[in-house]
Parts: sequence; structure tokens; C-alpha cells
Amino acid sequence: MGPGGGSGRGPSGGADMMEFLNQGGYAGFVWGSYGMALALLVAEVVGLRRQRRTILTRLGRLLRLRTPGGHP
Amino acid sequence: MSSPWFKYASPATFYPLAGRMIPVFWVLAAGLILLGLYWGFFQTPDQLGGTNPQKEYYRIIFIHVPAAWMSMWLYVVMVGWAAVGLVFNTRLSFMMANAIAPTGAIFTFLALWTGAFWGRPSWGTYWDWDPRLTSELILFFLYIGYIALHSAIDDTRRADRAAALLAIVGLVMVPVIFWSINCPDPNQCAALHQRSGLGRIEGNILFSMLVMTFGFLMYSFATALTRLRGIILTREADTQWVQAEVRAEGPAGART
Repeated sequence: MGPGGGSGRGPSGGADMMEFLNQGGYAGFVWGSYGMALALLVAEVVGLRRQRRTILTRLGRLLRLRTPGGHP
Repeated sequence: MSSPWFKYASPATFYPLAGRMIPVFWVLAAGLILLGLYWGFFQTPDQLGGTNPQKEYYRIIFIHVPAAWMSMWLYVVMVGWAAVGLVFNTRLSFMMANAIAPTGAIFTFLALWTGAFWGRPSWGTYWDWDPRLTSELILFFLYIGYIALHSAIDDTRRADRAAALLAIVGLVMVPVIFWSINCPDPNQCAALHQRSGLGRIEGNILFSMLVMTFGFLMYSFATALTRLRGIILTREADTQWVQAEVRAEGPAGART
């Protein structure tokens, strides 16, 4: 990035960004790999959170069913 | 029997301990992965030299190699817990093995997927029946087989034992993957994976690769322990302490 002025920074920053995203013409391969990694790891984390909520809800319901007078 | 190892072998004492450790592993995982990505993309050369230069696509290495290492390492750890469970008949060990399997399967799939995306620009093909690719694919099926076999048997104790045996037999694939190189000298034949050593990798690339590996390891600890806590709650649902836990934590239990 060039030094100084706001007018010079925008286009050169954008060009740097485009160059970075382009990955020398191999954007599809590089981002295809990183994208799948991101998607799978995020899906696992979201799935685990949902699973934990489901388990707690289910066990909570069972508990209230079994405790006489336990429901609100 | 007063050793701390036996104390924490009980699900009731391990559950809160895991709960305290999980946030630490999340922070370490996020920090290491971000550092590894930054270093890998901005502190490494754009191309690797040689007669057949590896262009920008070699950056897939920062997921590919750590994911492949994790796929083998998690399998070894999973088999270790399964074996401990079979020998000592400890409930928590089987639960550990169960908790590791899905994360291991994910990393195995990632190693295969990123390998295909690296193989296309560098070898000209997404897939080949190269020994290492083939044995890694079998490892993926072993993870899937372990999970499927466990969920196919209703009796949890029998499921634990059967799946543990399958996992132990499958351990043979890990050294096969590790040493599966059919062409030691790339000048003599077309080799997909070549013999390499950590000392022969450029310093910045090696640094990013190792940082990403530790990031993935911390991520695996976090996800496996989170899954383990779910398994403990489900399996110990009839005990007093789980019921107290559900009352304290559960969204539905909180109202009573």
C-alpha cells in the first residue's frame, strides 16, 4: 500500500485485495479448500451446540415427567 | 485407588472438569488457527522453486497436512481409549472414543478434499489410486464404519465393545498411510507423495503448518470434550448428579 493520501489508498488497497483473492489465478482451488474447511468446522460447532440444547431439553422434560408435582 | 487418574475416570467428576477446560481449548484453537492463516498467507513465498514450481495453490498445505496428521492422530487416540475401555472396562474410555470419531472423520474428509484440490493443479487430476490416497480413503470408511456400527447396536455396552474391536483392527491402516510411498525417488518414476522431512521445508511454511496443526489439535480437544459432555449426560441420565445438572443448566429445567 502506498503512503499517505486517502485517494491513493482506496484503489491500491482494492488492487491488493483483488490480488490476494485471486491467489495467482488459483483462487478456485485455494478457496475451495479453505471454504470446505471453514464450512465443515463451523457445521460441527453449530451441530454440537444444537445437540447440547436438545439433550438438556429432553432430559429436562423427562425429569419433570418423573418428578411428581415437578411441573410449573 | 486414590490416584487422581482414577478419580477423573468417573464421568461425574470428569464432566465439570471438561466444562472448565473447553473454553481454554476454544481460545487456543482460535488464536493458533488465526496466527497460522496469517503467517501462511502473508509471510510465505508465493511460489516454491525447483524445476516444477509449486505456485500459489501450494498454500493448501496449511490445511491439507495438518488435517491429514489429525486424521491419523485422532484415530490412534480413539483406538487407545477403545482399548483401555476393553481392558479395564471403564465407561468413560468408551465415551471418549465415541466423542473423538466424528471429529476424526471430518479431518479425514478434509485431508481428502483439500488433496483433490491440490492434486488438480499440480498433478492434473483430482483423484488417483495412489497408495496414500487409497489408504486415507479406507481410514475415512473406518471412521464411518465405527460410527455406523456403534449406532446400529441398541445395547450401549455391546455397541461399545463391537465398535472398539473394529477400531482396533483398523489401526493397521495408520502405519500403512504413514509409510505408503511407492516411489522414493521422483526422478525414477511419477510419485504423487514423495518422501520428505520437516527439515527440508522452508522455515515460514513449516512454522505456519505446525501452528495450524496445533490449532487443529486444540479444536479437536474442544469439540471432542463438548461431544463427550453430551454423551455423559445422555448415558448417565438416571443418576442424581445429572438430574441436578439438568435442573441447573437446562433451558426447560430452569423454569421449575
